[in-house]
Amino acid sequence: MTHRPLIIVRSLKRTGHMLLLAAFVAFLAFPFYWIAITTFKSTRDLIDTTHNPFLFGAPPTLDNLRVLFFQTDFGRWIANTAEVGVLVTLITLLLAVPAGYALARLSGRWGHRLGIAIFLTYLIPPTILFIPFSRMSPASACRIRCGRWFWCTRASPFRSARGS
Amino acid sequence: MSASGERLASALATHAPAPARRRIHPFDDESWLGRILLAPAVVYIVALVGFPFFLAIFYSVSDATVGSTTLHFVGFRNYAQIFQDPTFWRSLRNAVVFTGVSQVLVVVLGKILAMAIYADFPGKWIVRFLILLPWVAPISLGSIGWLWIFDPVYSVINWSARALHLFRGGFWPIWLGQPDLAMASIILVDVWRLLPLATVIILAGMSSIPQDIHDAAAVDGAGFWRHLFRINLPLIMPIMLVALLFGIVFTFTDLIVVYVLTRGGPFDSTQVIASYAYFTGVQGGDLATGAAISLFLFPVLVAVAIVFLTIAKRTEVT
Repeated sequence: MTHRPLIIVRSLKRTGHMLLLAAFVAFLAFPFYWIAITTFKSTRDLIDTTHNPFLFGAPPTLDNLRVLFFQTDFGRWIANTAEVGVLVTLITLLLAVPAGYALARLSGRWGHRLGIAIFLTYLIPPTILFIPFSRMSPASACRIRCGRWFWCTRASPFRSARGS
Repeated sequence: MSASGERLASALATHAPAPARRRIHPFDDESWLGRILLAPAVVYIVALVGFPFFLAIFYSVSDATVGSTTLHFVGFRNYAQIFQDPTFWRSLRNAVVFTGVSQVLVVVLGKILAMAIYADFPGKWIVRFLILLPWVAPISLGSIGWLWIFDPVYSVINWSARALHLFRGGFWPIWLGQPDLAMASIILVDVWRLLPLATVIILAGMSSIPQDIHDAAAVDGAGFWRHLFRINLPLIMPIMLVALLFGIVFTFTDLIVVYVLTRGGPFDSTQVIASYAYFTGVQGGDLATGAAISLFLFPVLVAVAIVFLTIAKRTEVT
């Protein structure tokens, strides 16, 4: 007799927990569902407000992907992204792994201070930095490229320094 | 004499390299090895962060534009100009509101979410995966997804609310087109983007609390709220402050969410310092004024960092 309320309380708690999780998951993951379903919808289906937007009102189509791959330079953009991604990762690892290792071992005063100094570069907003970068002449392609890789690598020294 | 002299000389000769050999090779000396390992990263940061940073300071007191190759020192004219610019003050206020409101929400929701996924439950793996998605995806991709969610005509929010009879009659909010709603929308997107990071940091802080503290509290009969406010929160306060600091830095310096969703509009009601500096300096071509505007971000961030790191150090329970 006495443990029946306990069971009710426990199941209420569990339901509340699940509802809370469902709300968070819906909020955080919904845009991805939205991007995914929109990718495969026909334009007519998208702009017809009588259709339920959560489902397919017309048969799914690969038309949008066809336009993307065959009527734009999407292949080129993917290649650019891959180039930047690979080079950024390589440069980051080459610079950050030794530095992070050194910072972790150098427990002395200046090692600690240098770690803080590297962290402080995080506080320099990208806007401040790409204003000077934008003036660099297009002829100096190398510098521009370095700049491009650099946007992504600058976040990393601190991450690896803390991680190691 | 010559023999002993020779012996001495040969002894010296054999001994001479000894101190050199005893001198530790740089790779074996910790402090030297440390310097060698750190040098590339430091050089890189000085060349690509330090140098442009000082160049930006120099630009802010010059008349640099995108078109010209010469520049002249003009003193504080650019600063005087932006101080009289109502849009600048508006962007500063917007940036503070945007950062403040979104980060309060991020920390509170992050703590609730961390507590919800701390315990074991079926499907924990997939829930964690789904929750982390916004942090893994590029900001621009997520923002473009939200752009379609907030579409003035095809907004799924409005469609659902209409279908559920929550919006009646002609009530049809234009999420990115009405000043208050536009601010609320970019705050929502920023919360969406930074919530996973805060949750993960707070979760790590929670798992570092030794179990016996929880046991002792349970034995002493501490209820949920007392446990939360007297044990859990004080112990993870330093790490929550770090999460908050990261959130503030990311939000205050971010212009992608604003750029993709509203371009600072309507009527500059969502213009923040970072986006205003970008529109003025890079798109508008007035590098000098843009640099002067963007430099306002830096002291604010340094002050925030100092305050937070000091508090975090002080509240650290050892």
